[in-house]
Amino acid sequence: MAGKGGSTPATYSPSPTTDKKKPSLFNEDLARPDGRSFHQCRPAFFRTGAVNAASGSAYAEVGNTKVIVSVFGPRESKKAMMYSDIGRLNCNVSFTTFATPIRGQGSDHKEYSSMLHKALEGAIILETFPKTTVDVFALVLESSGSDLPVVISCASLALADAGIMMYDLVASVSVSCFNKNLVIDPVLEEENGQDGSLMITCMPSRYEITQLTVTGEWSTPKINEGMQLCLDACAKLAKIMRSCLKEAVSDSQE
Amino acid sequence: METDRPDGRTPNQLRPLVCSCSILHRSHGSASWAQGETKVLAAVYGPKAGTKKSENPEKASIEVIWKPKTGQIGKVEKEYEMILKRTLESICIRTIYPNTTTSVIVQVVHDDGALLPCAINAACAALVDAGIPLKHLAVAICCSVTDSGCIILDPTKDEEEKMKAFINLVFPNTIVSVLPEGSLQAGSEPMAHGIMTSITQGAMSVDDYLHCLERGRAASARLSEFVRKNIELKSTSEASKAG
Repeated sequence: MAGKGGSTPATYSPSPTTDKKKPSLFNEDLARPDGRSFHQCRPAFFRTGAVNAASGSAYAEVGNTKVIVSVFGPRESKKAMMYSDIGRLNCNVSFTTFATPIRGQGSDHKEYSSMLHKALEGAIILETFPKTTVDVFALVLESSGSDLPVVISCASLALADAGIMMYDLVASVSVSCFNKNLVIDPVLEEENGQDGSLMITCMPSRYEITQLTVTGEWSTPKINEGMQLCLDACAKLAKIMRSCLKEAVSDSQE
Repeated sequence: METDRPDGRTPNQLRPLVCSCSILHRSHGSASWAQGETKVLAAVYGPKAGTKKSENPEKASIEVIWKPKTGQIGKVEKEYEMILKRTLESICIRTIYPNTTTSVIVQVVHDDGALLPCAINAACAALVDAGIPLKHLAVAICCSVTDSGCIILDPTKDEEEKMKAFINLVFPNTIVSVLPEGSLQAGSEPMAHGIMTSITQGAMSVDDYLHCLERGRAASARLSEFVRKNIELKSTSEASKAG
C-alpha cells in the first residue's frame, strides 16, 4: 500500500488541551476569588500559649486556614534510639476529619510531616539539647489553601514559645503560577488549578532559606520573581510573629 | 575553590551513569538507573482503568509507589512519592488518556547518596520504555553546599551527611516537543532554560541556591546527552530486530 511519491503522510500530533475551556479562575478586573490582588497575602493572626499542657504552643489563622501546634520537650529520647551528640526533632502533621471540604481528605498529605521537619531542622540549634528529642505536633483545624506554610510558621512560633534555641524565627509563604501571573498565598481553589507552585521557608533576619520547594514548570526569571515575592512576604510575616511573641512576654510580665 | 572528595572526583564531576531499559517482562515499561553505587529500579504499569479514588474525567492520573530497600515505608518515603508524582505529572501529556491511572513503582536497590534524582531519572526512563506520551524528558541532579560555601554535584551518602545543605533539581531535557509552537515558552524564555522541580534541605543563602541552579543546569546538559543516547540506542536496536 504505497502512497503517492509526492504526498506527505498525515501525522497525528496530540493536543495537550481539551476543546472545552475551563471557566477562568480570575475575574476580568484581575481580582481573585476572595477579592485580593495577586500580590496580596491573607490577613494573619497568631497567638502563643494555646495549649497549657505543652512546653510551648501556638495558634495561627491565615484567612480561613486554622492551625494549632504544640511542642513537647526537650525530653529523653526513646531507649531504642542511638546516642546522639545533637538533639532530635520529631514532627507530626495531622488534619481533623472536618478540616477539608470532603471528609477525611487531609490524610492525602502524609508528606507534610517530613517537609515540616526539613523546614525547621535548619533553624533549630540542635546542639543545645543532646541526647533528647523535641516533639512538634501540628493539627490543621481548617484547611483553606497554603496549609503547609501556615503550619511551618506556626510551628516556629510554638518552638520559640517553648524556649527552644533557634537561629531565627522561620516564616513560610507559597506562590502559585497561573500562565504569566504569580499569585501569593493561594487559597484551595487556586491551588487546585495552578500550573506550578513555589514554597519558601526562610529565616528573614539572616536572609537564609531553610526549605524551597518548586513544582510545575518555571522559567528562571519567573523563579527569581517568585522568590523575591516570597522573601518580601516572609519578612512581613516575621514582623507579625515577633510582635505576637513580644505581646505574650509583656502579658506574662503584667 | 577546589574540594578534595573521598572518591577523587572534582566538585563538578558526576559518578558513572548506567541505564538499562526493558529489564522486567511483566511490566509495560521498566528501567534501572545507577549513579555510582546508588541504584534504583522503576516499573510502569498502565494506562489502566482509573480507580474510584483517582479517576478524573479530564486527565490521566499518575500513582507512585515507593519501595524502600528494607523495612516499612515512612514519612520520608511518602514525601519522595509526592515529589515524584508531581514531577511526572508535569512531564506527561495527561489529556490523551483521561480517566486512567498509570502506576509507577520505584524500588530502591541501593542508596549511596542522591537517591531522589536517581529515582526520577529511572522513572522517566521507564515511562519512555512504556511508551507513555511525554511533553519532554526530565533530568534530575543533586547539588550540595559545604560549610565553606563550595558547591558539589552528585554527592555520595557520606558527603551528604557532612553537607550544610543540599538541593535536588529537575530540569526539562529539551525544547523539541510534540506540543504546539510557543507553548513551551515560559514568559519570554524557552522552557529549556527553566526548572520543573526543586527540593532543598538544610539552611543556605539565596545566592547559594542560585549558584546551585547554575551548576545544576550546566550538569543537566551532560545528563540529557546520556539519556538521549540511551534512548536512541534502544530504538535503533528495536528497529534492527523488527527489520
